[in-house]
Amino acid sequence: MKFTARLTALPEKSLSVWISLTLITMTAFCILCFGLFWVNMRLHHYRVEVGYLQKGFSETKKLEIKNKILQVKDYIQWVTHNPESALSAAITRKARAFKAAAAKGKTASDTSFGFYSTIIRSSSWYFKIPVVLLSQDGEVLLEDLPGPEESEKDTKMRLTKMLALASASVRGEEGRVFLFESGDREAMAGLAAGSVNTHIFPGYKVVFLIPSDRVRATLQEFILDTVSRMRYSENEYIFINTIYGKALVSNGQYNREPVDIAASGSEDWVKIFRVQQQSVKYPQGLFHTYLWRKLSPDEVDRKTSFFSFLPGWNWIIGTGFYEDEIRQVIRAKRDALRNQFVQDILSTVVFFLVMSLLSYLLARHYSRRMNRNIEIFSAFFRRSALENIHINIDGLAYREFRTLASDANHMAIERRKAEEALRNSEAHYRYLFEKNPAPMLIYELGSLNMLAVNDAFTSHYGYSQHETSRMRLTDLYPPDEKADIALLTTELTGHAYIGEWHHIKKDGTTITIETHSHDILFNTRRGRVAVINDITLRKKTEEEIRLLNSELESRVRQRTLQLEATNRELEAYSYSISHDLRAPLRAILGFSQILSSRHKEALNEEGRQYMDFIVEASSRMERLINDLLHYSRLGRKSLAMHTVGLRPVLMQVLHEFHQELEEAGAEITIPEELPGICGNETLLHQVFSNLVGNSIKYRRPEVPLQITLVDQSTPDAPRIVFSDNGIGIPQEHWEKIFNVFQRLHDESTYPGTGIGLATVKKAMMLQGGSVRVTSVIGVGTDFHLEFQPG
Amino acid sequence: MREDAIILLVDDNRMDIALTLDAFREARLFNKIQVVQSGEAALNYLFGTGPYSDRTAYPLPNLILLDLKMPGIDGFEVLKRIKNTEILRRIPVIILTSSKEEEDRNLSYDIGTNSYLEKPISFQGFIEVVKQINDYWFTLNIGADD
Repeated sequence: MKFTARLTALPEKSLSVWISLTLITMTAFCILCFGLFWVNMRLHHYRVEVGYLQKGFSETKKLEIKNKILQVKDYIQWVTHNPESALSAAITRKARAFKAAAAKGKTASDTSFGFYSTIIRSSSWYFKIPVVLLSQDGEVLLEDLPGPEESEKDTKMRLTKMLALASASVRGEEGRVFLFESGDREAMAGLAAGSVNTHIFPGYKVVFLIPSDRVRATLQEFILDTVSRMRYSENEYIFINTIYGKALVSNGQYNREPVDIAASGSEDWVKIFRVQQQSVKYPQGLFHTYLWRKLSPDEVDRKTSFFSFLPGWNWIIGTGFYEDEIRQVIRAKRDALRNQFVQDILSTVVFFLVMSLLSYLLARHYSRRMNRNIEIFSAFFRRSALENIHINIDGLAYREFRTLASDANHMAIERRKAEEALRNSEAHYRYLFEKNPAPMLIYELGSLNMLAVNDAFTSHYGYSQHETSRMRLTDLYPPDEKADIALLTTELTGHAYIGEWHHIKKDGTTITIETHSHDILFNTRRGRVAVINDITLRKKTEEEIRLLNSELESRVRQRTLQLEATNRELEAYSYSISHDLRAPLRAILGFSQILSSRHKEALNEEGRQYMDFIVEASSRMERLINDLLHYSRLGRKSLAMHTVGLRPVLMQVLHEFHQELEEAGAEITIPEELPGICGNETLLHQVFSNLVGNSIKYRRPEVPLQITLVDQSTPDAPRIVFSDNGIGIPQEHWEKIFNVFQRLHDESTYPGTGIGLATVKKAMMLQGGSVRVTSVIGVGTDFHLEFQPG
Repeated sequence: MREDAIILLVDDNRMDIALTLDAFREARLFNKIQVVQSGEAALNYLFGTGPYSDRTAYPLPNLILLDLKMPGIDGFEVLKRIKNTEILRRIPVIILTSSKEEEDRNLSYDIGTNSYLEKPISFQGFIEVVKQINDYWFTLNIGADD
């Protein structure tokens, strides 16, 4: 088959093939279903029919034969009571026979009355019907008087009547049977019949008569003859027996001479006849089943018969059927059904073939149309990559393909746009590559051949484009790095920064570079694009900076050490100065004291005064030296810093200054709560001592001394303000007062060494805090102290 | 008061020596005070060597007043030698110096000085110190059994 050939020729089952297959399969399936359904229905119908036949046929047949008999009986009754037609038929038959006989013996020369009369006389006897020949005028020309046993007188009388009637009826219709009352009382109901025929002998009237004594016999003969002809099959016929055992109609034959059943010698017949005689007792008739020989073929079969008694005639009338008939019917049915089956299956097969062919043709048609569309599409897709084409939508069948084509056209347009954009973008990127100020190169993966370099590369490295096209990436690297870079390129994916490497320019100089590289598809070759950053200068600068830094560091360290040493030296110096100053001072003071106490008398007033000056100056020098020692000692001690409560230290100091404060009438205000700080208790003590001492020393004599502490701490830094109502400090001295030996007043007004506030500052600094001063002349001074939080 | 107690005064400063001696006198203390003017001399005295080999003329002192800052062998060295020598170890040594430095004090006590006194600036202070030395070391203090 062409279809299967195409099917196998296809490398892969295409959609159209699938659609065709599906269509054919569906069609075949539908037809098969329909055929099966049809056959099944037939079978069902057959089963019903056979069942019906087997069960009901017998009864139906019985009813049938019964009805038949009843019909025959009705017919016989009707004929009996309406004998005209029967008699008419009899006369007509006789007349026809008579005419035929007359025609046989007639010649042209014999048209004489004599011939007619001869015919009539012979026929009248033969047909047992009286025939009268009349002239056209009704004159009796010839009469036949067949009844030999009849008396002359009777015959004449009867004939007269008949003739009168006949004459009267001459004017009646040709061939019509007319009935009339005969005078014969013994005859059946006294009824006679006659018929006038004018066409038998031209120029004469021939009257056929059935005399009343012959009417019944004629009727019987007519009935029996008619009934004997009523046979509807070879083995189904109506029989009529008289109740006295004469078989009038048997085996479908009219017995002109009735057969005596008892004398027939057939025992079966006699036996059956006895059963038939029983029907006299059953006005509804009687069914009987028995074995009886069929007429044809000559075999015995079961027969069911219906017998009914006909009282008017004293006949038993019946008919029957053989069971073989049912079998034959069923067989016939089965055969018919088988034929029907075969026919059904044949028609189903034909239908199937026709429909399959039709669906194949249909499927082929549509798949061809679809393939044509698909070819258009595939041609479009093949060529659209190269050319600017579109699908002609009008050339396509089916709405779906047209929609698809419009989408495909749209896609092609969009793709061309995208390609355009891509081309622009590629140009842009090419420009970015070629004109990039950083040297860039593209190398192929695997071979490491240089595929492209940009202008910056050629100008930076000194190689021409032509030279680089013959180089490999490793050619740029110094010998000891070639293997490493070759290995590294096999591991790079995506974007990568590979750190610092060295390149050798064409002129042989080695430069330090760092590169960023990324995968790229360059003219269908897989490679990487690398951006090179020459960091030689940067490295050099970095190195210089690093050297400078380390040099600077060492210099700073050295200088710091020097400074520290100097500092220590200075401290030791100031200390030893202070220390060594004390020895001569001690001598001066000691001996001047000894002199002024032990040798006072040896001096005059002036000498004593000078002596006192020496003592006073020495004492002052002693204080100076003590304070200096104290100050310088501050930095020499190692300091333990810990949390110290401000308030206890301050209270201690105030207690130590108890007497002086009382003398100054001091009024002291300190908050109940002062913050804890991180510091050194000794230093703190020193600070407060000096501040309190300062306040006492520089108070205004005219007012009582007031010392106030205010807590101005922030969460980060404990801060307090130590205020007095002293003489105040001019603003230009706010900074200076913290310097060593800075005095604002002469010794005689405010005795002091000028080291107190310097000590305060140093102590605060050593604790990581600070001190500054604000003051208003004649109002008071505020010392702002800030500490490290505790 | 132990009039017979011998004090060895070690000081390089003549004026201080004079003041100390004067202070003793002023305080009416008449102990025999042997004076040496350098650490070397002090060691010679204590070990009976050199010019001080005569123990009768230079007997071992009952108390040593020792200055720290001296040229050559300084007070620390002298103190160290004293405390390292069995026969001298039990002689009370009082550092009498113009230094109040913590370092000096700690070092002195570490080596084994029995007391550390600062030389007062005033003469009156000297007298007080001398008195206190006497009161404490020769009156209150119960020395080791010689």
